[in-house]
Parts: sequence; C-alpha cells; structure tokens
Amino acid sequence: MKRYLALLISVLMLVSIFAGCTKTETPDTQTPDTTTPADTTPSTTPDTTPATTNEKVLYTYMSADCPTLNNQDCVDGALQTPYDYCSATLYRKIVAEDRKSYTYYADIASEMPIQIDTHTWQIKLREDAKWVNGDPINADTFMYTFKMNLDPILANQMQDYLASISVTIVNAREYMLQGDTNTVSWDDVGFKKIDDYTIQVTTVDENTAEQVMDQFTDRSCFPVYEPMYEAGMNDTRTSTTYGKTAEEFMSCGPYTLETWDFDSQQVYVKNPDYWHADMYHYDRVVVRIIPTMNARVELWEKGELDYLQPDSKTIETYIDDPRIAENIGVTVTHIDINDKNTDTPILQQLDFRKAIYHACDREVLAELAGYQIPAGFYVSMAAGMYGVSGVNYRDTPQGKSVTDLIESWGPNGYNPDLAKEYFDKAYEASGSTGVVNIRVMYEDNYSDFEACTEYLQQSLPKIFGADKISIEAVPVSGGSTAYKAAVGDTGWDLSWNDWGAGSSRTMPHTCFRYFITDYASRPNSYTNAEFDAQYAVCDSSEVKADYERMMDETAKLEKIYLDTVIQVPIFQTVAYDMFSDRIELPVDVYVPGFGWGQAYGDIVE
Amino acid sequence: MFRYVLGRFGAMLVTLFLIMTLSFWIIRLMPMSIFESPEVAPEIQRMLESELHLDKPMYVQYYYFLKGIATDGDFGTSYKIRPGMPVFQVAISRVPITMLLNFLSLLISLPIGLLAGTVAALRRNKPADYVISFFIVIFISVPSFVFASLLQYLFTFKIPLFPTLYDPAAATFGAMFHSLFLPIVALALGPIATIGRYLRGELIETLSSEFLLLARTKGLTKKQAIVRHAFRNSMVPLANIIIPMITSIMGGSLVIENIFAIPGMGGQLVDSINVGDHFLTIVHLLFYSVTSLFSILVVDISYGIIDPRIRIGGKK
Repeated sequence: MKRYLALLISVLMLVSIFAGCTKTETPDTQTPDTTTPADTTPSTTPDTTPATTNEKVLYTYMSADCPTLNNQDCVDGALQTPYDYCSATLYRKIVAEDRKSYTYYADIASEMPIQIDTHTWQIKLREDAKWVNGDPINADTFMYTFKMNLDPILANQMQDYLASISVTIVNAREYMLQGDTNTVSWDDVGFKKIDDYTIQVTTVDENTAEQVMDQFTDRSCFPVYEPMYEAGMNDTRTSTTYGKTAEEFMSCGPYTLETWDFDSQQVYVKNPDYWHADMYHYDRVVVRIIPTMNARVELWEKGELDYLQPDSKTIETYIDDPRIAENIGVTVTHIDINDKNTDTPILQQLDFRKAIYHACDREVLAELAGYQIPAGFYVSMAAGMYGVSGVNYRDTPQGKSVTDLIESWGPNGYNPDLAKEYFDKAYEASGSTGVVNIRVMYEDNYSDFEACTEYLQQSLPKIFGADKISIEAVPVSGGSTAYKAAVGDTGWDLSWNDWGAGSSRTMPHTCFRYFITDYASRPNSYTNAEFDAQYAVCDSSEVKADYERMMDETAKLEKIYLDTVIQVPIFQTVAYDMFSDRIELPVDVYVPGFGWGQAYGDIVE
Repeated sequence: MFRYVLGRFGAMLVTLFLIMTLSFWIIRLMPMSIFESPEVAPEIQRMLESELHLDKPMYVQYYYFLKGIATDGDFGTSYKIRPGMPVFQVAISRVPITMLLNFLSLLISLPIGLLAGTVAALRRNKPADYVISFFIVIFISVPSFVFASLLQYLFTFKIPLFPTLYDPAAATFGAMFHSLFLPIVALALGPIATIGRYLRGELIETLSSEFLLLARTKGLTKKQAIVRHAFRNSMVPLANIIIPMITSIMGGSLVIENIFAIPGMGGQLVDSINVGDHFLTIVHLLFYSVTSLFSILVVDISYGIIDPRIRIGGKK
C-alpha cells in the first residue's frame, strides 16, 4: 500500500511541476507566396537569425508588446511600429529635401488626391499594390476596411479616428454610433468606390489636399485583409480574431512580419515585392520587447541595440553624449484642477486657479522631471504647421505674444507674490477657515510626478502659509484619468496629467480639444463658454485654411485658456533619443509629426 | 485514505470557488472600467460595456461570469492585454515558461540547500558554518529581484557570460537554459537559504539527541549514524516547506520575469492589474490558487509516507 501511495505522491508532484509544460507558441512565418491563412508556413528557424556578413539588421526595442495586430480595434501606440514596417496605406509621410520637415507621398495611392468639389476628393490607387501573398489591393479592399472599422456592431476602438482625425468624413460618426438601429445606411457614409482603382471621399468641411492625405496616413486607415478578417469573425459578428497572432495578420508593406513571439520579439524581413522597396534599406528588423530600462541600457552599452530612449533617471548619464538628441513631444504636462469638488469650496474660485498657476516654480519642476522644458504655455513647442512652413506656432509672432504675456508675470509665469495675493482672495471668498487640505493625485508608476508632488507639498505651504493650506499626495494605480472617473467629483482636488494624445502637429488649437464642454471624456472638469466659442472659431474650415488666421485665433484661444486657467501647464514634455553610430537617419533633427524616420534609415558600418 | 483524499479534493474545490468569487468581486470593484480610455469615444465604451453586461449590477455580472464557466468553460475575454482572446488561452500560453523556470530553480536549490545545511550542521560553530550562515542570512533577507539585477549586471554586462535577456528563439534546450540560467539562479538563492537554514537547525537538534547516541553505542560509525538516522529524521519537517516552496518561488518570479524579459505569467499578471484587464487577472489568481491548494494537498498526503507514525484519514 505504501509503495502505491509513494508512487501516487510522486506522480502528483511531477504533474504539479510539469502542469502545462507544453511547447510555446510556434513562431509563424509569412512568406511572399502565402496564399491563404491555412497556407501560412510555420517557421522552425530561430527568430534572431544572426546577421550574415552583408545583411543589414536593425536592432530596436519596445517597452511593451502590441496587444493585437488588428489596427482597427486597438488604440495602443505600440501598433505603430509593425504597421510602419509591415503594412502600407494610401499616403505616407517622408522627410522633405531640407531634412528638417516632412511631406507626403503616395503609397497605395498612385497620385495626390484629386479635388472634385469643395468637399469631395477622389483617390486613385496603384494597380500593382498587393498583399504579401499576391492578392491585389484595390478599391474593394479599402471599402471593406472602412466599412469594418466603422461597423456599428463591431464597435472597433479606432472608429473615431477614421471618422474624424484630420478631416471629418460625412456620416461616419452617425453610422458607427447607430448600434443595431439601422438608421444610417452605409451608402450615406462619405466613402464610395468609383471603379476598381478609385475611391471617393466626402468630407464635412472644406479641406486641403494635405489634410486629406494626413487623414489616410493614420493607422486607423490601413487596409485589412478581408479573407482573414472574415475567417476570424464570430457568429454574431461582434468581434474578429484578425491580428491576434502572426498567422492571422497579412503584411503588405516594405517588410513582412516573419515572427511574433508575444511579449518577446517581433522580426520583420524585407519584402522585395513592395512597390517602394528601394526606399527601405534594412534587410531585417528585430524588435525586442524590453520592459526594464536597466536591460535596455546594458544592451545599448554592449552594442546590441541601435536605439535607446533614456528615461528621466538614465538621462543624467547620457546628457553629454554627442549621440543624444532632443525629441519635443506634443504634450505639455499640466495639473488639472477639480472645480466640481464641493467638499473643497476654494477649488471653485478662479483666483485659486490663478494662485496655483503662479505658485508653480516650473524651472524646479522641469528639473525634477529630468531635463524637461519649463512651460507656462499649453500649445506644444512641436505643434503648428511645422511640416509645411518649417515654423511652429511657438515661434510665430502670435505664439510669442502669448509667451511674452507669461514672462511679464515672472519667469515662466512663476510669481509667488502674485500667487499669494490670488490665494488670499480665494481663501476669503470661499469662506475657508483653518488649513485647507488639497489632494494632489498622480499615477504611482510615474516617479517624476511623485517627486514633483513632493516638491509642491513643501513649496505651496511656504507661499500660501502653512496655516492655510496643506498638500496631500495621493498615488493611484491604473491611470489618474480612470481614477478620477471612479472616485467622482469629490474624490480629488489636483491631478498631474501628461495626456495629449491626438494633438495635431499641424493645427495647434487641437491640443485644446479635450477641454471643451462637449468632449465627453474630458480629463478635467472646468468648462468655459468663451473658450468653447473660440475653439469653434479655430476649428472652422475658413480658419483652418488660412495659416495666419489660424495662428491669430489660436493665440486668442490660448490667452483665454490662461485667463481662466483651464488647467495649469507645467513643463513641455521632452524625450531624449540615441541612435548607434552605425545608423544613418534621413533627418538632421527630430521632425514633429514625422519623428526620426527610423524606418527609412540605413546601416552604414 | 481514498476517502480522505476525496474529501480534501472536495474541500479544495469549495475553497477554489470561494477564492474565485472573492477575486471576481474584489477585482471588479477596482476603480477602473475595463474600457476606460480617453482615446476611445465614450459612446463606444458604453456600447462595449453593454455588450459584455458590464453596465449591469455586480451580481448580474457575476451570474454571467459563472454561467460562462459552467456552460462553455469560458472565463471571459481579454480586453487590454490581448483584446478579443479568451483569458484562459492568454494565461495558459504563459504557464510553460513560468513552470519551467520555477521547476529548474527548485531543482538546483534542493541539492545545494541540503548540502549547505548539512555542512553547516556538521561544522557547527566553525568557519564553514559561519560562512554558510552568513550567506543564508543574506539570501533570505535580500529579495530575489535584487540578486537578479546584480547577476544581470555582473554576468551579462561586466563579464558577459550570459545573454542579458531570455532568448525566445533559442533553437535548443541548452541555448534556452543558457539564457534562463541567471533568472534560475536568482530565484534559487532564497530557497537554498531556506532549505539550508531548516536542515541545519533540524540536524543540529537530531545530532544531540539520545537515539543518535544509542546508534553510536550500538557500533555505527558517525557517518552511518548521520546518514541512516540523523539525516532521515531531519528530513521530515523539510517536506512541509519544500513543496509549498513552488508557490513562493512563483511569487518571486513575478518581478524576475520582468527583469529578464521572460514572457511568463508573472509579468502578465502585473500588467493585467495595471491596465485593468480584470478577467485575465482573475484567471491568473485562480492559477496561483490551484497551485497552492494542490501543493498543500500533496504535503498533507505525503506526511503519512514520510513519517509512518502519522496516520491519515482519522483512522483510529
């Protein structure tokens, strides 16, 4: 009996140890001659095949993997990398001859958009565009792609981007939000097939050809491969498995997705059949998923990575490295003020908002966040017609007039005496007594925000008086925006925020889109009718078509923002990038809206 | 015995159900909507929530959750980490590498821990004991991820004997083991110290016991007395700690997987909590619970085999 029991125990122990010990997902290969998903050949070769003597291999990384390769149902920015390399679209951006700005070129489109009338454009497609398996890409491909992305039942997360990012497509939003009511027909949406190689787009506003092209550079407009998309569709047509694995994704770009080991690495190999293949120089691109900065730095130092973006801690080591280059972001990190919190009446005072604005020493806060640029303004230094004119909004006379106003208050708007004056008025007007406790919320995985909050904990009571204000740091997990929604109107007072997603590089006013009253996912709570009206002016077709007016109206909008302190800007977000010496980039400086053009780079060793 | 095991198994299922229920309620009460994102239109967020019954009261959501498990074995769908994929499938794909990592670290920690404990006990209050005890204290006190970072820095960067990261494309087991060696060592240090400390203590106590003196007086050599009697008796309490150690090592691997970019369960569990992929978090918690409960069951059953004086099943 004991022997049997011993045997049983041994087996149980082994089973518990080996439970689930099966082979990991086999990497899959897409080869150019693949014809159907079923024909996709599993690869048995290692993903990181050592580079042969003449093979040009780019080694780069992402901090987290793409949740899916379905571009229609994922807003995660990580998807941009595989789509830059492995997919094609109607138009793409390319660096201009001056190597400091960008322009557009026709990718699957065969030429620039043709204007039919004020709101209608036709786009001709090239006839040799094809998927990596040889299937043609034509007008039907795009009609299917757009219809699926806007499908009201599928409810894809990128619907809104296709409906309206640079141009607004007629009835797209109405179609996608109709649910199962069938009130808007697909025929009423502003996408039409004219012939096999021509599609027509109808927009709500008058737009320029650049704006139309810009719309179709967006990831939401990249084509999907219909047979796979349909094969993965469930019975109720509420979801598809398209893009969930490498074998459920079809490449059509300059590179082919060779392997995708989720959370480990992606490997792309050059697609010789791509119609613009001569614009791309790497034979292979290896993208490792490296969550920790330490590992990235070690690989960089060992020469096993061609690219590194040091974080606020690591930048200290590399700040004097000749390879370091600034990358000005579209975001200005700011503090939201919760004026809806009735538990803390002082928050509803405009003077309190002004007091916080002038009490923030942006020089110190920018330093604490790791070589950021102090900013009393909100329109990013990277926004505003840069690609076309070579001048961004902040460098225009209109933009400078706002900066001059800010500097007249003090360096970057910092003026403790003025701040104290405003605070005392707000304190009295709100009927506050004793110490007002202000809760400053920040995401706990942002150590920079923690340091900045700790600084505010010390500096604000010094300016306003420790007998009148105290600052409580509130670290939260999972995103402060989400947390705000969860805790309601009375659960927070101030909150750090660096979100500026979707801010347009070309139209500087769009960074204010998220603070107008009718934007439902507004990350702050303050609303202002004058601000809303001025935003509408900036967003009108006539202003968007007139560069000088756009600058004028944006400056007016930014002044209203400052007058009423919609929120409190603190520093311009700056990233720092490094490329190994063997990489030759197509640009001389970081080009906002285009980046470093890493995909168009070359290996020169 | 059979009835005992069956009873324990039933109790295990009940415990698992309670854990699942608690996990569901606690995770779903976290202040974050699955679809919360300023980049996704609110109307789309609402449509998605409605489609998945997430706009309904918690008890209704729980009903649908249980119904899915009971009827289709469906624990829900991932919406952030792997949108649209069944969470069970997403989680199970991470099990092999995590189990391999933990198994190998336990495998190397056992002999080394036993050896260290034995040497320390036999050389009690001598330099060898001091050195081993010193390292035992260090290994127990310092978290495994600190060692992981240190080993990574020393042996991949300063002395590049191993790759910095796990190699997912390793063609052979040898190559894979090479890239897993440092995380295995980092994970094994804690268990080595735990086993060594326990065995040292037990062995010292046994060595001074009267039955060992009796064994020596009966004519056994010191070596024979130690191997046949002292060592065997000291192993009994060790059984209590070795099997559950699997669970504790898995806890350590949560961070170590991240450091070495190992696509295992730990990193995914942490990510799922951070991004609010609730059903994926629940499945991971269930997996850890199953492992723990199963370990406890195995330990309980093994008592009677290791030590015949212990009777199982309440037999009088």
